[in-house]
Amino acid sequence: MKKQLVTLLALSFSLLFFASFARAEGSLEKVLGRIPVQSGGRVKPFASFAKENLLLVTGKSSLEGQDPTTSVWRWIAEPEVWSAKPILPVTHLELRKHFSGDLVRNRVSPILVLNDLEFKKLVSAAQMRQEKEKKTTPLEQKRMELYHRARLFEEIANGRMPGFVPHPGDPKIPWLPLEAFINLQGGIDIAEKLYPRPELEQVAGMLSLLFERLRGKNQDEPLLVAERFQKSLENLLFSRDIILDKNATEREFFYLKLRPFQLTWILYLVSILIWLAPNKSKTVKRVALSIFILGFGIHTFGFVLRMLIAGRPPVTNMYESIIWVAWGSALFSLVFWAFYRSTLLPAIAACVATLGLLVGESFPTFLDPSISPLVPVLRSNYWLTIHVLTITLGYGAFLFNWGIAHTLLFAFAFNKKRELTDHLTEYLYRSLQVGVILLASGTILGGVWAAESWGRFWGWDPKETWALIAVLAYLAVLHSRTAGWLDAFGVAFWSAVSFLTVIMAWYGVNFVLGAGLHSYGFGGGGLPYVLVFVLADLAVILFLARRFRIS
Amino acid sequence: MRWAQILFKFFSSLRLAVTLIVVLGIAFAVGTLIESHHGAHAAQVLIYRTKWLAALFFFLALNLFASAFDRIPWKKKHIGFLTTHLGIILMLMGALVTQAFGIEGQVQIQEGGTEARMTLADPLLHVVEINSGQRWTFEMNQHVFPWSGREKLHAEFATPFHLYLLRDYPKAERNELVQKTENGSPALHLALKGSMASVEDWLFLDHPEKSVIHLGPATVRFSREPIEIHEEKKTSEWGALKFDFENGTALEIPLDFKSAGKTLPLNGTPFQIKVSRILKDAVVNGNELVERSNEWQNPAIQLMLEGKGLSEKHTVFSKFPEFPTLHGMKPSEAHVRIAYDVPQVASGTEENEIRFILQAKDKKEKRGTDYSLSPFFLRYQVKKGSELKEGQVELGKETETGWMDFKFVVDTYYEHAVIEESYLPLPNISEDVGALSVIQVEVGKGTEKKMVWLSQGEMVHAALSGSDFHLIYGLKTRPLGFQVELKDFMMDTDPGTERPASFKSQVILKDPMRGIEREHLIQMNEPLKYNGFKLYQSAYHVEPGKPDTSIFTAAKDPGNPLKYTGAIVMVVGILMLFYTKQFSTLKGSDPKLRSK
Repeated sequence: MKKQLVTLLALSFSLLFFASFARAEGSLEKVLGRIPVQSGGRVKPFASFAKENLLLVTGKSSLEGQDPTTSVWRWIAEPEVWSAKPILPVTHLELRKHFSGDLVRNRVSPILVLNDLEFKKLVSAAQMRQEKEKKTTPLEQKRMELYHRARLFEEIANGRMPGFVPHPGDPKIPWLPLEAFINLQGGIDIAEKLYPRPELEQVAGMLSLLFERLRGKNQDEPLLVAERFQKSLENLLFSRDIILDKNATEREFFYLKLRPFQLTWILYLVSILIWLAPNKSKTVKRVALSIFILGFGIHTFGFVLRMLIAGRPPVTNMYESIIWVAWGSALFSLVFWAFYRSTLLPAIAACVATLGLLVGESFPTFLDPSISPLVPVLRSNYWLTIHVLTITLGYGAFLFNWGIAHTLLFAFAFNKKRELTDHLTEYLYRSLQVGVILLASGTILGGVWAAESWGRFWGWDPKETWALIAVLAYLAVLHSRTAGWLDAFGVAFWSAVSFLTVIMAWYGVNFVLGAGLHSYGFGGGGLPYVLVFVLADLAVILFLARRFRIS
Repeated sequence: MRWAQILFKFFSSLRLAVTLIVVLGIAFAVGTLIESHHGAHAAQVLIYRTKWLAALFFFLALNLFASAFDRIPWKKKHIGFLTTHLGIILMLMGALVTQAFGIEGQVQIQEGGTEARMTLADPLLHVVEINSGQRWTFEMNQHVFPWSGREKLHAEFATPFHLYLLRDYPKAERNELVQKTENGSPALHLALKGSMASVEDWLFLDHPEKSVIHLGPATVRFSREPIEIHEEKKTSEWGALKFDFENGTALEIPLDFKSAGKTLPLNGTPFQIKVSRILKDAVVNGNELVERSNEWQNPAIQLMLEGKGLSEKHTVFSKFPEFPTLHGMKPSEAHVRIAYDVPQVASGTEENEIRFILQAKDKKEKRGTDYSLSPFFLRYQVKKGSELKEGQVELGKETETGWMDFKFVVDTYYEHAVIEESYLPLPNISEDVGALSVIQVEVGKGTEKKMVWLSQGEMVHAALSGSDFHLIYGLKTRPLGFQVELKDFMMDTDPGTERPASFKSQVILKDPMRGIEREHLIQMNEPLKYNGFKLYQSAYHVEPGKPDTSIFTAAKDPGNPLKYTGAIVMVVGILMLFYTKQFSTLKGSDPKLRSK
């Protein structure tokens, strides 16, 4: 009976896993989204381009219930129609006042933004200030942002980006965009210098047919033409002996559709819910653990996939580091589980990892999930990779430690069994050790790398300084524990508080301080959310402490 | 003896250890906040390089030593603890060595140039007496925040003058105030307004910089000379060849349809030219120039320059005057630059111009339009392509320029005016491109005194009771001990974008004392290592029309071996402490610490 239950569960999850692919069978997205294009410094499937740019233009991940690929193709097919639709978000109150007459659900149409001369003047004034590297006000930033959204829409809708056709001699120079086929007079003449005319005309013909079909309301009709367009494009490249790496595009398209990290947190969450079942039989625990391990497997798989797509270890922006840190917590919980055989450990890790992944997946505007080329400092350095991975793995250990600390505080506050608190005290201490050794050696590795490439070991850069502060905070906890000033509760309380220094080193240096050598590629924003999180966490810790003291 | 025991107990205590850890942590945190608000220099001066922080580190080292000695006699289980603390002590010693002997500076080299010195971050003031050639240097400490006061500066030798520092702004913005005076050059204030952009600025008559405003495709100028209308000179459609010899001789030879095949003398020079071909619309086909159409699209001329035993074949494109005209890109042996001017494709640089012209008033004719008592009057000319429009400037009146919807207004005119410079301090973290590091000093000799503003890197002249001085506010430099020549600076971009992907500098390292000369490629994460120095690419400067410049940081850190050893020792120590039983005093989760 129990065995059947397990099999049933496993079966339903594998179904869930493949359901997402079956759904997209023979859709426009599947055909047009797979076409490789050049954008943002690398070659990617159109679906990837569409996802990133739909977000940049509209701030949403889908438009009118359609997938990004189809939406963006409709822009290109009917630029006049879409530029009159209110698709650009207006967030700033002053800006809303400016466009007050034309707002629809706080959105404005690109054409209104682009044709507003007065607005354009304000934008160019803000740009002038920015060029002189003077500080711009939030209103000015929002103005430029809105203008950029409109301009980006215009560029895409007019077929000026992304690039579809590479230069046969040098694939690194900008590829020819669709515009070359839309504007028959000028465009094809340029393309003709690179490709034979009949093939070019074929692509142009298919494209205009595709546009016609896309303008029609019927969903199925464009599909055939889309397939033929894609074939004609392939033929065109083939005529100059170019075959693009299909595997790479397929891989990325698969990654996009799979959304492995979303799947991961769903599995983690399910494992927690099962673990929390009131009847804690061995089987329930085993099922919860199996689902957790399955989730961890997909987590790892997604990570490896992303690494293969990007061609580098993906820990170079906030989004990627959150995914990696969550992975680290899950990994340590499994290692600990191997020693202590307590399913409580994976359950705690599942909580913190779900939290991390949810945060990572929910704020695509602050935490950019797109895969982009590295900034020069980070390129091709083995030691640098080791340094970053070690430090962030240390964050992962501390995240796990933070979860254990909260569980322990909760156990103390609500008078749980002595056995439970004793176990948790042991786990807490061990996870502290793992975190300290990883963070300390990661920081030192950073120093070694800096000494090798910059000739100095320590330069008081804010990121390295805050990593040191985090190490010192946990060292203070460890030493106070040895001195006997902190009992089990005190260690739990102070290590939970010390996690704030990790948040500062991880997030705060880039977003709050915004200074130093490490402030690349991290964008900005989300500060209010982090502040609310930090304050809420402090409130929870203090509440638990108060309850413990009273009882 | 008792106090020694108490002291030892204090220094070996865990209480001191935890206090030090917490205090250091807070100090560092404050340091990063200072850096974020006031810049890295402020954080260094106020926290990281202070004596009290050094004292804290010293106490930490004492604490580590004392706690180790406190455990005597050492047993096997102490090894983990001792190793960890030894590692930290070694790292602190390494930091001390760095503090004492470490060097960091900048080396800036232009392509083709060689540099043997590095620039340090310490400011320095040079004073040179021009007549005697005597020079003095004044060391000074740059203030962290904008400072004003009166501080006497001392040179290493006695000086025949005295120098006071009055103001020191690490970052400042230059302000120019135009003042009406008794003597000075004529100035006018102009506003140019359009729906796309507006500009306003002062123009000074015949000033080397302030007489012109460049606005992309147009120019505004204030001059005594009106615009010469070239169109009236009536050059033939075949244009003219222009020769500029390095010795100053300049020649213009008009061409016509019969010129091809002719030999023409270059008067005043030992050379003559033989025009081989004139092309109206040249394109390169294979290895040859051919005519594509009969329109003046891309005029080019091929000629032989002969004389003085020389025979060079030149191809001159009128659209690309900066293009080397000789095959193989060599400069001409005749030391001449040749340009081909064709009226149809006149280079578009100054096609549009507004010019204000100051003319001596002709009393007999212009009495009617006289609006001031000045003996001069101001006219304007607006040139748009080949059209020219002119008129009398009236103060405060908007005049259409005919360039899109641009209008101009002259709202102020001073017959005599000067620019008074002043500086306003900016926040340390200002990223304003115009921000300068400036000081104001008072130089005095005898009874005469002068206040002078000095911006970093600029030379200022001051005359004081008969002597002329040059003052330079610069940075301290020191020799590298070797030379570096920059051969080439290269920048790759990400495919299809302008984003830089990598920077590389091909350099030649030269150490004549040791007879070393070798090439090296410096790129990100791959510095040049020589003589204890590491030279890495920290910045670059690329500007069209100028040779590229690489900016390297040169650093020497003799504390590194100590720090590396310390780091390894410490990590091994922690591993023993945490994960071995026989070398560790830690007993896992101590029963004492369990919940009560």
